[in-house]
This record gives sequence, C-alpha cells and structure tokens, in this order.
Amino acid sequence: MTAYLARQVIQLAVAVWGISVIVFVVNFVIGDPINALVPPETPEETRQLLRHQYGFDRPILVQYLDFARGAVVGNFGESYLFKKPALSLVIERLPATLQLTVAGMGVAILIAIPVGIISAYWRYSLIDNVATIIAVAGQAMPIYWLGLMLILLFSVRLRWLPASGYGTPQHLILPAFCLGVFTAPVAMRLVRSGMLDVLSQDYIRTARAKGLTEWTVVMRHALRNTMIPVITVLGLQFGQLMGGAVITETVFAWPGVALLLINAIYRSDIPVMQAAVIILALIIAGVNFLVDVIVAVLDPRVRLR
Amino acid sequence: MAEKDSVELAWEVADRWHWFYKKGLISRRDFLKAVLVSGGVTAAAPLVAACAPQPAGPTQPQAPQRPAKDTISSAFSSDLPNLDPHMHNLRFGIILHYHLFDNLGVRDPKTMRIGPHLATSWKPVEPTTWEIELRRDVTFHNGDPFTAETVKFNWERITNPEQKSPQRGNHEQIAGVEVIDRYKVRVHTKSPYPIFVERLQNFQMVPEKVIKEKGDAWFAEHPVGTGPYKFVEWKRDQYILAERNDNYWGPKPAFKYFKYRVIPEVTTMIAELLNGNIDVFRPVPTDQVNAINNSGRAKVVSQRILRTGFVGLDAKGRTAPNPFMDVRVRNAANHAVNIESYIKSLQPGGDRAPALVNPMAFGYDPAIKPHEYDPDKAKSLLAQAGYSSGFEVTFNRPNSSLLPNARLVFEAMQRDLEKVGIRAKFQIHEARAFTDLVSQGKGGPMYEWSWGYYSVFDADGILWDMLHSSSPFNYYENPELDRLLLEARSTLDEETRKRLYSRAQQIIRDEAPVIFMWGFHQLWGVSTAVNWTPDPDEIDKFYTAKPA
Repeated sequence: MTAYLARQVIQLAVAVWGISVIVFVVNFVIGDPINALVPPETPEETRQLLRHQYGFDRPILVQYLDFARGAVVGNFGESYLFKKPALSLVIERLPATLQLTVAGMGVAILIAIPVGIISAYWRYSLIDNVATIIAVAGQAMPIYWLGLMLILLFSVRLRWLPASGYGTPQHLILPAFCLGVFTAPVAMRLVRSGMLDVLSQDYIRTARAKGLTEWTVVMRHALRNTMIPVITVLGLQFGQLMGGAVITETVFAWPGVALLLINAIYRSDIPVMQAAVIILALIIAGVNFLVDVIVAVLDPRVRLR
Repeated sequence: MAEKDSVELAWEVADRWHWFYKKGLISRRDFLKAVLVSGGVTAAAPLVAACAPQPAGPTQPQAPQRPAKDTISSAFSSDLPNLDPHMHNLRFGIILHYHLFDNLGVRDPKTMRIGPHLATSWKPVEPTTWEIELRRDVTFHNGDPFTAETVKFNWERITNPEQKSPQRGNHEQIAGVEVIDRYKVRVHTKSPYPIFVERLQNFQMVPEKVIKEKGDAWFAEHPVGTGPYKFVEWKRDQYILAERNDNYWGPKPAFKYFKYRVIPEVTTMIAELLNGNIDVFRPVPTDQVNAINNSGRAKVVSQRILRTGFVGLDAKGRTAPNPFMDVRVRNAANHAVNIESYIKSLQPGGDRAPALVNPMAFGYDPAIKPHEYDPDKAKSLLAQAGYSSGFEVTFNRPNSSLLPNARLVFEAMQRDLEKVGIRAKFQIHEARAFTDLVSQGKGGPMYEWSWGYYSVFDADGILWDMLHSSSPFNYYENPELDRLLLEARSTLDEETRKRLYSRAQQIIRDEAPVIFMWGFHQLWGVSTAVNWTPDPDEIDKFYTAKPA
C-alpha cells in the first residue's frame, strides 16, 4: 500500500510540474503581457518602464526559476491587477467553486445512478431508449448553451430562479443543475453497462435463487460491484467538472476561481493565472488520488498491480 | 451556536434510532447505519452552511428585495482590480469613480466641451500656467474639506513615478502645482498645453489625509470621495454597492443606492436586464436589439461615441513594399468602398470621419467632404497606377473587435474592394497579439483598427497617435503634416489650432493614408423602469437617472 501511494504521489507531482511549465510558457507565446495591462494608446517609454518593473525583460529561464521557487512555497507573487498575493485571491474564491462543483457532482450522481440502474434493468425498453437519447443529448449539448437555455426558461420566462449571482440557495440551483446534466451521462452509461455485466453473473443468480427480492438483488448485490469503476470515472470526471465550472461560473456570474481565472487570462494577470491553474490542477489531482485510494480500499486486487 | 444545536440534534436522532433498535424493530447493523447516516447529515449541516454564501451582514442594506425601486444597478463584465481612481484605466472603473468622486471639470454632453465642476473657472495666465478657482462648499464623505491643497496633492500623486499610476501619461505635461490661496491653484505645464482643460475631467480628487493616514492599500478597497454616492461595500466578483451622499454639494441622485454588478456573459446581462435585476448595460450585441425592444421590459438606446474606426494602409511600406504606397491606389480603395451603405445596413449608426477626425472632436472641419462611392473612378485610378488587373493583398484583423457587426462590415468591404480588383484576404489574429503586430510595424499592407482618443475630444487625440511620424502606430509619413500637428499642439489659441487642423485634414483627405470609416455608435440596454440616457463620452452617469 505504501509503495502504491508513493507512486501515486510522485505521478501527481510530475503532473503538477508539467502543468506549471505549460502555464508559464503559454503566457509568452500569446504576446507581450504589457498589452493587456495598458491601453493601446500607451507610449512605448511607459511600456518599457512597465516591462522592467514587472521583470518581463529578464531571460525567460530566470523568470521561470523565480516563479518555480516561489510556487513551491505557495508564493505566486502579487497579482498585477489586484496588488495582492495571487494565492490568497484564489483561496478567497475557492469555497464558491467547491460549492458549485460538489453540488454539480451531487446532481450528476442523483441523475446517473438511478437512471443507469433503470436502463440496465429494463434493457432496450422504452425507458432505456429515452434515457440513452437524453444521455447522448446531454453529452452533445454545449454546457454554455445549456446554461443560457436554463436562464431563459427558468429565469426570464418563468421567473422562478435568479439568472445570475451568488448569495442564496436559489442562486445555486441553475448552475449546479447545468453542471450536473453535463457530467451525468458518462457516469450513467457506465452504471448501465456495469450493471448489465453484473446482473448476468452467477452470484446474482444465486441471490435470486435464495429468494431475495429484486430490490435487494439489484441495490445490495449488483450495485455495489458496479460502483468501483463508477467511482473511478467520477473521479476523472471531476477534472471535466472543474473545466465545466469555468464556463458555468462565467454564464451564471458565479464568483469562483474560474471567473477569477478567466479575467486573469483576459488581462494577462500572470501570477493569478498561474496560482489558479495550479490550485485547480492540485485539486483535480488530489481528487483522483483520493479516488485511487478509495478504489484500492474497496478492491484489494488494485494494490497488487 | 448553530454547531451546538446540530450536535444536540444528532444526539436526539441517534437516541431515537436506539429506541427502535431496543424494541427489536431494526437490526443492529441497520441501527449503526442509520446513526451514521443521520448523524453525518445533521453534523455536516453547519459545515455545509459554513461553505454556503453568508447571509448579508448588518452593513448591507437589503436593497434588491425592496418592492419600491430605490436602487439603480448596472453591470460590467469583469471586476475592477482596485477602487483607487488613480490606479487603473478601465472604462468601468472610470464610470464607478464618477459616482464616488468628483472631477475638477466634467464634459457638457451638449457642447462636448469641459464645463465647471469642483473647479468653478480656469484660465491661462501665461502660455504655460493655468489658474484654477475652486468650489468652497465641498467636503469628502468622511468630513475632510476639499481645498487647493487637495488639488496639489492629487496632481503630485498621479505624476509621481513611485506611485506607478497607469494614468500618469495623461498628466506628463504637468510641471507642478502652486497653491495660491485656500481655493485657488496655479498649474504649470512643461510647454503650452492646449488640451490641458481635457485633463480636468476623468481625474478624480482623492483625500490627502485619508491616504496619508491609512495608506494606498487600504484606500484601494475603501474609497472616500466627494461624489454623489458614498461607498458601502465591495464583494469581489459580485458587486460594488454605494449609497446616496445626502450632503452632496450638487444635485442629489434620485436613487438611494447604486449597485454595480459583475456579470461576465452578455446573454446573462440581457436576462438580468429583462428580469429587472439590472437597469442598464452595454454594449448590446446588434443581433439582440429586437429581442430587448420587443420584451416590453427594456429598450435599446444608441449613442455616438468618440472611438473612430478605419482600415490602416501601409503607405510608407513599413511592413513591406506594397501597392498602397501609391496615393492613387489608396484613393482608389476609398472610392471602392460604400461606407454609407455599411453604416445604413450594418451599424446602429455612425458618423463619417472623412479625414479621421471624429465630428465630436475639437478641430473637426465639416468642409472636408468624404470620398464618394465610385467604383469606376476607383478602377481608373488603379489603372493609372498600373494595376488594371488588380492585385492580391493581406487584410489583418483581430479576432475580436469593438466595431458592432465587425465581421459583416469587413466582409462587405472585401466584396466591394474585389469588384474593383483589390482582392483582400483576411488574416485573423489573436486580439492581444494584434496590438503588438500593428505597433511593431507588421500590420501592413492592410489592417483593421480603431482609436478611442484616450477620451480627449480633440483632433490631437487621434492625428498625433495615428499619423505623426514619431508614433509607433504610424504607417504614413509627411513632414508637412508633422509640422502642422506639432504646431497645433503647441499653442493655446483656438482659432490658430482650428486653422492648422483644417489644413492637416485637407492633406489627410487627399493623401488617404487609410480607408476612412466612421465614429462608432454604441448600444445601451435600458430598463423601462428608469429614465436615463447615455452620454457620448461613454461615462455612464447613473446619478442623473430617475425612476420612470
């Protein structure tokens, strides 16, 4: 177990380092970061001065080492725009993002598991076909479009829920639902196929032969074994969920890390960009790590690999 | 308190399950599960509550929930970096700060000239010295008086290199400020500075004592001004709330609160406008105009703005030798495009700028007539220049544009140019890299461009930056034009300046260094619940709004 965990931690560290390099380099590929800080009318002398003040005129390797040294101890530097430590700006917005992603994940699970089970149980029935169509549609719909449609329907037309903002449970409903619908289909298909696989196994026949109710057979015996791959996939989906959150937060004006990140990108606020991407990467990597551990605990065979 | 309650509750629940278990109603295994689940849920409740948005504190007025409309609200697409008016140059920050602070002068939306505000009058006493008289009845929101010392402090702060104000460039001509008496100052400029008066607007007066006592970092989050609204609170990436200053020296706003929300997505802004959660936003995408107008809840209002568009031509071969180095080809391009029809069918409006200068700017000469649409003339000019079978050319464009319907406009232009033989091929660039491209001389032979004048309503605001040979944005060189532009920015005499700019515009019109387009019109969405109109200076002044 210890060796397994150690291997996972090393993988995680390499992944995060790789991400940090990409984030750092991309900034210099896009163009002069000064352009995002000042209007086009700004004279060249002012630009030079700013370039020097921000250290953009140093060799790129020196800039990277400087950045990496700070990043290791959580110092991403001061935001160019906010003049505050970049990390604290990210941490400040983390609860809102976590709230949204956890709620989105909850919605996804609430949709995926029951629908997956029903689809598998009544395979090729009308209900299975409808669920399949909805799943495909859910995957095909851009989350951005879905968000706007939800706003138009529930907010503008029906006036049941607020279109944007933050502050009450009502504000959470639309964004969480949007994110959940986006995430659910993959998990749902997986529950379905896993369930189909398990339902045809011998021990299920044994359970039925014992005279157990169908409910007990499905919920207690079949679902449990189906859940192992589902948990793994949900862990992987968490990364996608974070990606989805970037768009969801933008559409619903949700004051999370993603919104901060988008603005940082627009305005070339490099320290905030770096801090946000690396924190998000750490969270995603952390969740996947946790999932691996849970699966290892649930399924002893995993550790032997 | 809440935590204790939930722990007690968890105990009660567990106790109840225990009772079921003891009665033999549930198995031991089920009892343990039940306690775990229900206990977990109740114990987690305060955690969830802690993560959940905090209810409004006592400082926040419950403005949005009240039935009577006492709040005017607008939205901007991304939050401000700070609330110090000297430490950013974002449009939405300028708008906010017109509410929290005051300027020495403000633009009269009718004449476009700067009128008195905190300054009651100003005059040049020497070519490089201006004397300013101040109001005597102005105090900051914390009670500090506004005096000549305040003005001196403000100019010294913004021009101090250590302060690193992004607006420092606006005031680089200021040499020093001298306090004459408590309400009179003299401002010295490095050379005669005709657009000095333009610098009296969008220069908000901040309180010296507060900044010296509490520091810049504190002030950046707790702005104290003299304006019609007082700062209440700032929730990052959510909103900024301000309350009416009942001691304001000027006309008091009709709405008690002013709320500025952060909404990144324009479609969401439209939804919030239609829901009545915001009252004003801009810019409205042109394809949404009907949807808003037909909603019955809001309408779209258009207003001319100073930003002026054009297509840059590499007349001096800065990028590479090209056909536009011939003046006949540049004029041909101007005759080939049907500017009037683009404005009519693709724009919410537009003011033709036949020699780059926007009709609202000082120095604009209405006697200069735009190039007429005449494809035959264009063809014959091209033939004279030796391009009777036309030529191919790259047309550089950014992937996002401030021009409404930009893609359609430039596609129409492309078709018109092709009709006379100029086959322009679009090359689309990332917007941020595009500015580099143009300022580093790689924009040629053709590039989409527009200029906001830095909000200075003066011909100098565009002609110097676009056409003077010293500017990084210059793709045309003419010593005579250079001389006229320099002379015009070195004298205070308005008649002389007008004459110089007329000459300059005649040269520009004839030399056609660009394909001339128009001054943009912008669209605002305004709720039917308020009475408000936007100004051409793009500084939305919500303190003038009234309930409808």
